[in-house]
Amino acid sequence: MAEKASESSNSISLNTVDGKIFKVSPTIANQMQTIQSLIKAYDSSRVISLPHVNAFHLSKIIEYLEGKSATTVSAVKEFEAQFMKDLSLKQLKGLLIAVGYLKVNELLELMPKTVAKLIENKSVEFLRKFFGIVNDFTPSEEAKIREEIAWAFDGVDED
Amino acid sequence: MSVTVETSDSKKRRFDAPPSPVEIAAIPYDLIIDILSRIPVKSLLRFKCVCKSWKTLISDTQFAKFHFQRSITDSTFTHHRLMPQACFLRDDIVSCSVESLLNDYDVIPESLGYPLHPHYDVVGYRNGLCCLMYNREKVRLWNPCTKLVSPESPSLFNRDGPNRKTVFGFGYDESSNTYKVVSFFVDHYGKSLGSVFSFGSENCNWRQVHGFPDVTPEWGKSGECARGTLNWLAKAPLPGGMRNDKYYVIVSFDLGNETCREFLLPHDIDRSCSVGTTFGVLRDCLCVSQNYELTNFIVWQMMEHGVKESWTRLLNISYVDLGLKVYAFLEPLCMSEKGDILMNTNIEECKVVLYNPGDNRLERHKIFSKKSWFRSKIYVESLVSPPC
Repeated sequence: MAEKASESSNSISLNTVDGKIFKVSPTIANQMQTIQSLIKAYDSSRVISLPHVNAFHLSKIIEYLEGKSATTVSAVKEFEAQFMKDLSLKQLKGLLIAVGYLKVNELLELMPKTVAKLIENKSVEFLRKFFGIVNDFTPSEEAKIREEIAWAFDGVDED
Repeated sequence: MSVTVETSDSKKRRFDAPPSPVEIAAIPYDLIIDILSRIPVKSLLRFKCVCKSWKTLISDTQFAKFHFQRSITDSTFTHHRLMPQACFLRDDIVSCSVESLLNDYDVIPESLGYPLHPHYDVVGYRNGLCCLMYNREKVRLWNPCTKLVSPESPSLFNRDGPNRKTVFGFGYDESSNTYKVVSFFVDHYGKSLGSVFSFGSENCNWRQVHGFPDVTPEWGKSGECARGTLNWLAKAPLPGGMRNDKYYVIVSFDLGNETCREFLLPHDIDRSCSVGTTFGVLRDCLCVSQNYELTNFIVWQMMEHGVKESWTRLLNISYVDLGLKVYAFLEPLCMSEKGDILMNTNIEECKVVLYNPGDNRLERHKIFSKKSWFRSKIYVESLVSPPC
């Protein structure tokens, strides 16, 4: 699937951070705003290097853009559920960063929505780890906030 | 040619240089805001502990507005809840999830941990705030999700003290960013009196407002909020009729310019006050419904606020087809994306039913609660703070 691309001469070559070259059609490339603006700046024969995006992420994004042809609301929902199925949180995070970086508008609604659903019942510690955030509260500052809203800590999922 | 971009750590980097994997790091801040704007209030309060910048973001009033806009327009109704319409609270308020009701699960209501004196009454809900009233004279705002409460208003003094026949309404005026409570009653001489209390204003008192028509509001139900107005069903004297001949009109108070208008009900409704007529709001449009000639339940919607020609029949349900008793009471609450309508009711043991217009089918819901359950209102959870 990864190297599946149109053979037409005007296809665009994308080089992922782990060194895989993808050839995609202009229709697909133009749905990634970042690529769209790079095509204008580059000459078409040039390979575009993508930081933040690995082969897995890019193949998922292409899979989504190529597959999303359903017309009815329920068919789109079905396709999106299938697309998100079996993705680990780590993969989701990488995909989210890739989608944000490439500015894939089609996925900029679905991705945050999916991540939000997965993390809403998680603990503070889990969130810090997931978002790579360093706790900058002093222990007493944090304890004070926790005390003020102690009831919001009921019913938290296990990490 | 080389192209440079701003990376998350603000250093310029050449595109052609392959970045080391270590640099693949943070989720951009705008995506974090987007994710957090979809998270329930209770979890967001917990996430204030993540770090200082998250605490600042989650406490920000602009973020609260953004989050609420997301919540209220969410087609899955994840942040919508059913709350009591008006009741003496006794010791607690219970509420239940609209999403569960729409997806046809049996629903067990949750307690909201009501913090105040038990003898408050609910006036209404707006932007995630609940307006509570004590002894029909003092009001305050409460956010059930954050558990914050505003100070109590001064007393609404009438000549005769608190008046049983006064109706109230709670709404939000966007133009002045102000929450207002409006009281409206008709005295012994048939003159109407209106007062407004604005939360957080400098002049912290009830102000009299003029221009309410001399009609008698239907007692016992708070004003309905739609398109920046508060609306009540009221009885007006029938022109040329006997003294007791009355017909229903809608009194509409504009929360921005504080003026009043009177609307006629649909031309094909029975406007006389002998027929059971209910009044509500669906998708920000006024609705009236009536048990029509004892055979059908009809709902009309005012598509364009204040334009009487825009009344449109939204629903026409045959009592016979659904096997309902003719005095069954139905009151639309909200409409799902698919067009299913959640309604208050009194049929059998149900408190709410879900009506599917396509199949002409009623799904009965049982709400399992030890606490008494009253007529419901839709409430949307928010981070909005009650004004000081």
